[in-house]
Amino acid sequence: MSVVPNSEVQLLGQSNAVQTILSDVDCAARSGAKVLITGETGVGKEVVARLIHLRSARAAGRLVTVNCAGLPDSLLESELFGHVRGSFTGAYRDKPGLLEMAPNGTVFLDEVGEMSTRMQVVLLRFLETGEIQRVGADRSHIRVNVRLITATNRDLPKEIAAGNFREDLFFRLNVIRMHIPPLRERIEDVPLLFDHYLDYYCQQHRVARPQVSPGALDALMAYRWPGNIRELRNVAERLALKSSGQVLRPGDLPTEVVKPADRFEAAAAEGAAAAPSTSSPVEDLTGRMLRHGESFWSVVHPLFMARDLTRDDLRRIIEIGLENTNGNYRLLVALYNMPNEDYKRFLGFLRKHNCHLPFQRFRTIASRAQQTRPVAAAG
Amino acid sequence: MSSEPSAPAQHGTIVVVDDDVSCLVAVEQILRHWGLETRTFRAFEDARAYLAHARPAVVIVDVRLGNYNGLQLIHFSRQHSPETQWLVVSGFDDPVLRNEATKLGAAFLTKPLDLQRLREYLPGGHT
Repeated sequence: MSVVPNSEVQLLGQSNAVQTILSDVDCAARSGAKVLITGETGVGKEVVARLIHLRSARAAGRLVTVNCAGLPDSLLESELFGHVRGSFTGAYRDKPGLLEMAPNGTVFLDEVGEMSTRMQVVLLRFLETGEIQRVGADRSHIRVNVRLITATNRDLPKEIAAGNFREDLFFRLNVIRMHIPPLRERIEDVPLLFDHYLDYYCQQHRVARPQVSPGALDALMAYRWPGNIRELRNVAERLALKSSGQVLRPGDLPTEVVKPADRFEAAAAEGAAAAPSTSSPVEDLTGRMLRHGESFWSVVHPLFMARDLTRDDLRRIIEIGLENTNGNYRLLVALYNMPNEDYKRFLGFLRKHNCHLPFQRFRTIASRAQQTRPVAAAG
Repeated sequence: MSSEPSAPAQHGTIVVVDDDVSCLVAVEQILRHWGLETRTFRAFEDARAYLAHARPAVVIVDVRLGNYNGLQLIHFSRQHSPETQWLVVSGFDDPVLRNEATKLGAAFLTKPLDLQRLREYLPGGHT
């Protein structure tokens, strides 16, 4: 199950797990009740939310997605509920909240487990009354008709036990629960998913579509995919970018996929030389973004701002990204799991801290490194 | 107490789903005392598997079933067994969940159960 990156939404896979999810999606779509989607990062929770919306009676309405992680409390409240002019510095005019912007539609709250206790109370009140009060407004309540779908990768019952999440909110959100299993529990879907994304990215980057050798396929199926489908998609895109149309062998796969410890037989069979991984903080952080699907904003940004990472570390992280994308900053934004809209903000951040590296040299490095296998996309 | 999913139940069966075993046994004993055929389930998944095919007369389900909400079971059953009467019970009178239950055509009762009210929803309850 995954999203085709641009528009079309579909669940991909033939495993029993996917068939069960599809039938649960139909059930949830018919019902109109609140849905809580759980599962590890990168399993496709947002895709499932989209499918429920698209198959429901609200499909003609909008689906608005809000990521509750990474937004400070006050900003999240104003995003969801809107604010009135003058309610805080910078609130120059009245602004409607996202809950108002999806009349007869669906609001998808991702990472709902990250909400502060105060925001949980605000949400609890909204669920009870169906009314929204803009930040800074005395009253002027507006009633909205939206369906709420929420998702989290946290174990909420555990968070409830630890006092971090309200039990009453959990039961209100959790009317229909859908658990999306990690990719390693439906490994039989990997060939289909990999084929799909390789096709997609080869088309998108206009490179020849390589065949996948049986050894490479074995390696892909033996890997645990800690970052799930998002990681598989990233691997497919990186391979597409480097593709010269020749057969993909285990040695062409990223080292983390064909680690000697995990896949020594495949590596030995096709003569792949997987480099032992070093574990400097930079490698560790890029690994978390490339393999586990974590975002630059949550992995690197806070450490850099707290001065736990030096400017050189940040430059090295950007360098690794540019090496993977042939010097393309737009692809780097996606590679480090940031939404496309963050492109300007990301470049602004790099410029401000003097870490915006010129991309040209990565293009030449890429083509020099692959002189034996000329790459159409290198120029 | 049987909990394995099996063949469809006959009409007239009362299904009780509660992960609190003391509540479950208490309700089961009362229902049996009233001469009603009863099946009980402690786990959401077992109840779900059973209700996917069965067409019981009444299902009494607790809202809080471990990680799940008992209301979810209604969705699995409603299409093929629309005549099943659902009684949703909860230790807390949450207006939001009460509203959800009502929208699904279920009755919402709070614990401790008022046996007279319970009886009204069961087969032969008005006689």
